[in-house]
Amino acid sequence: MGELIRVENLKKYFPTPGGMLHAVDDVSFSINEGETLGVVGESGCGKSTLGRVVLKLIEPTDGRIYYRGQDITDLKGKSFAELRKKMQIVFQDPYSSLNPRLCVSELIADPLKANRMLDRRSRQEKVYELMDMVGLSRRFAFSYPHELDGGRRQRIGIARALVLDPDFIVCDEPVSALDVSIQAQILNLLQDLQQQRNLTYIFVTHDLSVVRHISTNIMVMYVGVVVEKCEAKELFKMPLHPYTKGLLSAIPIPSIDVPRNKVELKGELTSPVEPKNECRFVARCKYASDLCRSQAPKFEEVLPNHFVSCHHVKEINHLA
Amino acid sequence: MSLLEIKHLSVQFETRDSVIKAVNDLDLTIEAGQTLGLVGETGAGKTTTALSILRLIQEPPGRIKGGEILFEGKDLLKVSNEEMRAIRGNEISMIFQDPMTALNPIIRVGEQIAEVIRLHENCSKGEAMEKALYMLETVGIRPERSMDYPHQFSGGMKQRVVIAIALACSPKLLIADEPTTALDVTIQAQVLEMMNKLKQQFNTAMLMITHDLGIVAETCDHVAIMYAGELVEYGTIERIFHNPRHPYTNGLFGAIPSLDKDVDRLRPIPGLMPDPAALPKGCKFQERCEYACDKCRENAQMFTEIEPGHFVRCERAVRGEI
Ligand SMILES: Nc1ncnc2c1ncn2[C@@H]1O[C@H](COP(=O)(O)OP(=O)(O)OP(=O)(O)O)[C@@H](O)[C@H]1O
Ligand SMILES: Nc1ncnc2c1ncn2[C@@H]1O[C@H](COP(=O)(O)OP(=O)(O)OP(=O)(O)O)[C@@H](O)[C@H]1O
Ligand SMILES: [Mg+2]
Ligand SMILES: [Mg+2]
Repeated sequence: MGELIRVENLKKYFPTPGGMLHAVDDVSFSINEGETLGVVGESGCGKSTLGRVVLKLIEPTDGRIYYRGQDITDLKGKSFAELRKKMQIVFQDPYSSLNPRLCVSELIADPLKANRMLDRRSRQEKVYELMDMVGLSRRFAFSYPHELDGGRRQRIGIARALVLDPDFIVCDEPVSALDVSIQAQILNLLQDLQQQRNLTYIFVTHDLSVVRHISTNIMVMYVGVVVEKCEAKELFKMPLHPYTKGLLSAIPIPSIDVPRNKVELKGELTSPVEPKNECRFVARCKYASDLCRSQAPKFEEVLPNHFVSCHHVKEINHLA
Repeated sequence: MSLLEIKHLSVQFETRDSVIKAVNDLDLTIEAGQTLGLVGETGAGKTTTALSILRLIQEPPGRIKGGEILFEGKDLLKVSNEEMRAIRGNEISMIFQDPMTALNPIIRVGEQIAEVIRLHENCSKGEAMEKALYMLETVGIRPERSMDYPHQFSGGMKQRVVIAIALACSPKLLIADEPTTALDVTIQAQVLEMMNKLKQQFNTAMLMITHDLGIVAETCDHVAIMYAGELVEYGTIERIFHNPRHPYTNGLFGAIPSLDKDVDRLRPIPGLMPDPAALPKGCKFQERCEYACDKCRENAQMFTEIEPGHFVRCERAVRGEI
């Protein structure tokens, strides 16, 4: 299994009245073909922006993006249009991301039409093939999105993302708007499709039990930076960054037998606008020292394949 | 006497071409100082139930077809509009899902809380503001931020302001409709912790609407599971978590991904809730139930007490066949 996507020192800044907002600040990672990288973190930490920059839906401020080893950062025009088909996105809100004036069949065929692919008949065949694949009964082909429930709408979103035969999909909170049962149906579907078509995913969510279930590796973000990254199960067994620890301990567990030992995270979020050279978690961290206030920590491999950015990670976790 | 006792409540929405039976013959009781969790999937009728208690169902298309809602023994469906206005906010408050809709974007946060207090306690502006600042502090926001406008607050802070407003008049009953779905887990934990504290401080009873069983486990004393406008199971938190009996309740527990066990595939409840405009005869859950038999398709299921305080609407479960 080769590497499909690699990003190096990726940055995305937005100009705001108060200065530059560092939505994504120096993020690097790679994803192997057929694997899923889960991205978690608080609202506004830059998860969606990261997904969009990787797909080049918005231009990075700095950094490089590689697809199958090829630098695609500055790729434009025709050669990028071909690549675009290989890289797709599924949005959180199936309600607002679908054109209400198109019926299901038109919605799924739309990307084909936009790329002038296939004739009308073959397009319709392809639409039915996809509806079968994502578990949408063909009788809904001429229904409009508002006539369908959230689960079915999300299936349309997935079918649209698949219609150009991509190999990489950014799933931006695809199940957050759904209730637990429909959520489980969609997660199973995404996993089946991944196996059948060797798809590679970035899976953005703030639901930690979902991300554990679906991911190969997990990346935890905090105010634009990655604070921890490792294999999915390991993150839950051995969280090393103080923020990850707080995050995991705050998950409400659907059981009344587990005694909870919550690490309460007090204090306010650091602003992403013109951040200082300090650890971004310093305002909420009980281990914060002068060092943390005067220098941003480096993102380093603390254990094999387990990366953390925290000055005090070794002392906190009693690591040699 | 219970604080709130809903008896045989039925609510429907009448649109041009159909009648949606959103709540059907619902019974529900909440004791003073206790928290009841109301759980169920999209469209089950949770919000409709909550809005009925406050008589905020929009009519038309909504209509309360029958039943009683006894609050301290008084039927809220019978009191005058004036009396109802006094009860809303004073004795019963509600927190809506989206904090932004509940706040006025052009009025300073402190003033918004003070205004509610002034209306309900008939006190001077100065006194109201003093209490507003105290409420802000109670929900963990520094009083000097009372001069800010809502957009200067993060999602979690806005939701805490909404909670401060809801609690400003020390209601006897607080209805919280998915109060934390818009928040992430660390902020959610803060908000839930605070609500628990305030509940103890003011002995407030709570109706907690959610589909997150984790939140139920952390906040509730009793749980009511709702499906297609009816309760299908009710009991103490221990009963529901240790001995869930209705196939739908079990389905809900089975569908959530685990934080400590590894499974290859999740087990969703197959299918969808029936169209509330065309509910099936017999058990409403039959189409999605692996145990459904001919009798289930024929007979309406009774809500039966299977052990003290534990009710289930499934005859096969009652007979111990499942
Ligand atoms: N076009 C834009 N202009 C200015 N700021 C932006 C823009 N898009 C995003 N931001 C800011 O960038 C930061 C990251 O936003 P982003 O949407 O990536 O967060 P997120 O992690 O996806 O949050 P959520 O969980 O709420 O979806 C936020 O502070 C946001 O306000
Ligand atoms: N104003 C309305 N007009 C028509 N139908 C309505 C109206 N309000 C609610 N309904 C219908 O009543 C049923 C119950 O809706 P309700 O909002 O109470 O469900 P809920 O359990 O709160 O769901 P959710 O988890 O999505 O909030 C649904 O079928 C819904 O479509
Ligand atoms: Mg986002
Ligand atoms: Mg609702």
